[in-house]
Amino acid sequence: MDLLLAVRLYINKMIDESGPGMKVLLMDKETISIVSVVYAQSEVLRKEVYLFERIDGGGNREIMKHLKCICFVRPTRDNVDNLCHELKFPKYGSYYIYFSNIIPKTDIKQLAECDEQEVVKEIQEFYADYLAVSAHVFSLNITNIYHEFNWVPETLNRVMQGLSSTLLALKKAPLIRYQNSSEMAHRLAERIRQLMAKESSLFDFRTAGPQPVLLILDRREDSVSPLLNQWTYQAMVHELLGIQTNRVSLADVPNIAREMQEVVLSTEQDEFYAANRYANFGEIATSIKQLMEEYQTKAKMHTKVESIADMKTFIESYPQFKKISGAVSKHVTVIGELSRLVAQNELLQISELEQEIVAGQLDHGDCFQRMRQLIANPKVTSLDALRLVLLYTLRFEKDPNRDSHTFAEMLRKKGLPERWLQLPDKLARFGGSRFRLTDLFHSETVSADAFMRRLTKGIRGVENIYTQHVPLVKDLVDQLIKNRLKEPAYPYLGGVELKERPQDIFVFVLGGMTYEEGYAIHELNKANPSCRVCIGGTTIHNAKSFLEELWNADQP
Amino acid sequence: MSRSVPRSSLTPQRPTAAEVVVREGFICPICMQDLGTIDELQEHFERDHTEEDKSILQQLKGMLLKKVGRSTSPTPERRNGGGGLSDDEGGGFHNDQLITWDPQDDGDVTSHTEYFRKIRDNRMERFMVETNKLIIRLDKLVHEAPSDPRQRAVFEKHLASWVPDHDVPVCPGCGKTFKRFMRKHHCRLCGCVICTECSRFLDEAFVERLTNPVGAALSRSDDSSRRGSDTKPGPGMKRSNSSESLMSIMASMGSKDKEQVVRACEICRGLLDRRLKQMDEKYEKTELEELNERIVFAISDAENLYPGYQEMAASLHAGETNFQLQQAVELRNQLMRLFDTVDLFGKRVAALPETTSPVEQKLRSKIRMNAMDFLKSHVLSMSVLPSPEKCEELQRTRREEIKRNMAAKRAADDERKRQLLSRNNHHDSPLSARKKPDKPKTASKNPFDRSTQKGSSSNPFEEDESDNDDSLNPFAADDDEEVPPKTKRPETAGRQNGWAAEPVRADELDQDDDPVLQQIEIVKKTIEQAKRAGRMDEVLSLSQNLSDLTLFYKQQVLQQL
Repeated sequence: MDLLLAVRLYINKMIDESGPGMKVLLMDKETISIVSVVYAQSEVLRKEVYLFERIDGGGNREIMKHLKCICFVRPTRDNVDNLCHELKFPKYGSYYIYFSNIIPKTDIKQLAECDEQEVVKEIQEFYADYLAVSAHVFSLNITNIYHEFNWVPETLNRVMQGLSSTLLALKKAPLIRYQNSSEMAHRLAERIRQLMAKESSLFDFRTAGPQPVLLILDRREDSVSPLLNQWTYQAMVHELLGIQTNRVSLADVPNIAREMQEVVLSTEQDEFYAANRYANFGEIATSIKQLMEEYQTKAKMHTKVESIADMKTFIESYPQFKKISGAVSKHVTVIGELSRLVAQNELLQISELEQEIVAGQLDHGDCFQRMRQLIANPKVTSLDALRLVLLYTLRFEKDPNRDSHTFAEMLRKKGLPERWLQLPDKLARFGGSRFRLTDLFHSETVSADAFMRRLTKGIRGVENIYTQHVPLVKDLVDQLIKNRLKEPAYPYLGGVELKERPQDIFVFVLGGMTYEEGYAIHELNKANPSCRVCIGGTTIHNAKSFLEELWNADQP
Repeated sequence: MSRSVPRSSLTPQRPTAAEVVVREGFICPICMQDLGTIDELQEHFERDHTEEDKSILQQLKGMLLKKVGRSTSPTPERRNGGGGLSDDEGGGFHNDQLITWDPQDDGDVTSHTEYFRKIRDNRMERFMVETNKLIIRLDKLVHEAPSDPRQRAVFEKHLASWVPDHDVPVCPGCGKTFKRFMRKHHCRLCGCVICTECSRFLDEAFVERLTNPVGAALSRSDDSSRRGSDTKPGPGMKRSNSSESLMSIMASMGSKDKEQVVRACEICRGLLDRRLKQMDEKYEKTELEELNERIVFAISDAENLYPGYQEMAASLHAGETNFQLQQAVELRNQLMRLFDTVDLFGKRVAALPETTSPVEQKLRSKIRMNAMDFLKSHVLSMSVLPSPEKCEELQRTRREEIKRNMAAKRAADDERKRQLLSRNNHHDSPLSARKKPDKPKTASKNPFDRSTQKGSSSNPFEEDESDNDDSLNPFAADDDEEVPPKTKRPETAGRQNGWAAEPVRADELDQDDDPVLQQIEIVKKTIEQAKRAGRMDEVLSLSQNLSDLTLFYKQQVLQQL
């Protein structure tokens, strides 16, 4: 159940099928991300893929008959039309066409009728229609899916396709469970089931052991996770700098070197990142120090190349040295920027208060006081002030003392744009207690495990005040693993129930997941070796992108 | 509550010391003895523990399932990568690699190629027949038509069976109605009626290329038939064959210098155009392509040879005699030649004549980049071979080393035996044995510690080992239990120090065994390793050692009885 490996295998297969010779990879806007997330350019170079072109990039590509064309595109109308044109006037010697999802027969027919030069050698469906962020995390990279709290119709279709492609890539035909309170989750579940029924020959996977389970959740159930400041490396980078298809833009960092304006954080090519993306900020500092020291000893060794022996050691460790020096400068820059932001924006104080609010043990009066102080602090950014107010809104939604007016005034004074001031009300409609099944703030027990956790917390004290929050998804999946997830709140679609504990689990969060949740699932995978859990979302949110999603959600 | 920057592991529950030791295998839940197979465990249990309280058993069973049960779980592959303990990997390494899921096969795939071909070929078949018909007519028109204009008109009318003028009120090409003074023309190829605007004359060169493919064109058509049969054996073959035969018929009719040009309609012209395009299609290999091919071949050859060479070099540096120096030198030269080839052709790509096409530029630079990347990563890290004298010296020191090791080992063994005798009695109560695994650190205080086992304190492995696994994960040993000794190790370490067996770790063995049995186990494993490394002299002496030990053990048991 490795989502990333699945995409890599598909791409390997494409390249292998075209045989030896110079190749060009023809892609569309979306598949280009799908490929670039799992493959580095140098890796595909070695396989003779020398050029990368966009099928939707206008008709200015040159004719190069000595190239083989591997065409990997989504099965959209536009792509089929473009491809028809391409085949009528072929620019390359031969074509190997791969669609990233199910394509109607009529489209195949249309293409066949255009291939008058007989250049097409293969035409297949390879179900790599999702961004494989890591082995167990995927994203569909779609934002703004809500329209008046319901699906935007085209989006529903696209999400259904993306989600079903993960099932096909991993060869799973799961039972479907969905969040009962969400009509959108229900509709998506229905669509997936319809597809599985319609393409029953495709979804005919025999599996040993219990049937896999797909659990569909709605972001509205837990608006807290995307609002919090994060302290694990990956989540923190996304929160403070933003990760887009493994790329982080550092263009806004003061005095940044030109080659560092955009860096790539990929678990496939960057060992340090792979090993440390779930480490928290303090640990990262230690790790980077180790890396630096290693680098410095190596560098020192290299500066005094005097004897032949020195020379030899230099040559022997050269490739490794180069690799380290690249990684060092990259991560030092990123971490340096993170600490600058932490200090500049008072993030420690903010995060502490955030965590206390969501832990549910802070009473209104205290909270009110501390928030007023923090928001008044000029170092606190308006975004951070806003997220505090939003958390406050959720936490004290039903509290008679709730005073949203004061905070609205303070935010206005901080210069927050007028439209953002509507967000607290929007959030109450989006993820308020009227919609939610669970109490996010633990004033009553969610599950036996959450209860146990609180108990031990009470006894042993909190180990780390900045990372107390455990996302709801972790509780839900934990219950699902133990086959204790409540049936009425998360019913099975179609009445077939799983009697035993599931082994393979897909979790899908419509409205977007968070890296915090990805980390939580990673922890569950480690703790339950007999289970394999994958999590995905329509996108991966940080606070900023979540607020956009929220703002658009009930915009008429 | 800590107020410092978050440092501690995110997971709230750190396992206590008691939980830390996770042992695998078929371990008896009562006395914690490791039994090799499930049958042995069952037998042992029935024999030794039938009297014991069943309720304890029930309690233990739960624990067993959780802790030990992983080794009997249906997915054994996951065990080794599972990372021992769920929560504490030590060293702040929260690495995805620690979760290794089952090997995965390719994702699902649906192929539409067949359906696509069926539709395409049906369609192409129709075109092909039509086009061939036109070419035959064209050929006759150009080469066989009588020169007398009147006869010629009759010939043309017959050949294409002209449509009567009065049947066509509207030009089929542009849709204009034919007025009184508008000429009606006939397409000489299909016989349809068209207006002046819509009719075209096929120029001589065009006709010539279609009907008389001599010289280069002839070879081109040969090429086409080959390519056709390469890519699709079915209907494609038939087609290209027929067209080839057609070409040759026409070629044989070959009288060249006709001045005529032929009037044709758009549709016929389109069909003929396509045929010409297809003939053009059979391009020749470009120089760039050739260069790329050479580079890629050389790279893949070199990549095949490279690991073998590195191994050889390491072995020679270690003073082993498995490989001849001469062999290695040859291999090295071969590799160097391949590197040269890559470099040479890479340079030739750069030296190709200037091109105006930016894509071509890009293509060249990428090909060069590939060659350079390969050279950078391989040439620089290639090991250097020792000189013949140095090689001999290395072999000599290694032999001495081995001798020294053996002697030290013997001495240590003797010492151990003596100690055993004195300690023997403390070791067989199951109670004391049960406590043992709770203290993982005892291993190092144990007299059967690695260093004494090896009998040589200068063993390079010690650093190696602690650098690699132990510091990162003190409990890795539990996971490694059934992994065969890593075959790579002896090479890397051996570089400085000659062959040395990988230490059989103290904690790898069952600590509750009789120490003598442990020792026997160690020697056995070392023999295995020695065999694998092809060190027959070691195997011999170790076997001697082993039989000594077994004898000693038997005596000991007898004494006890």
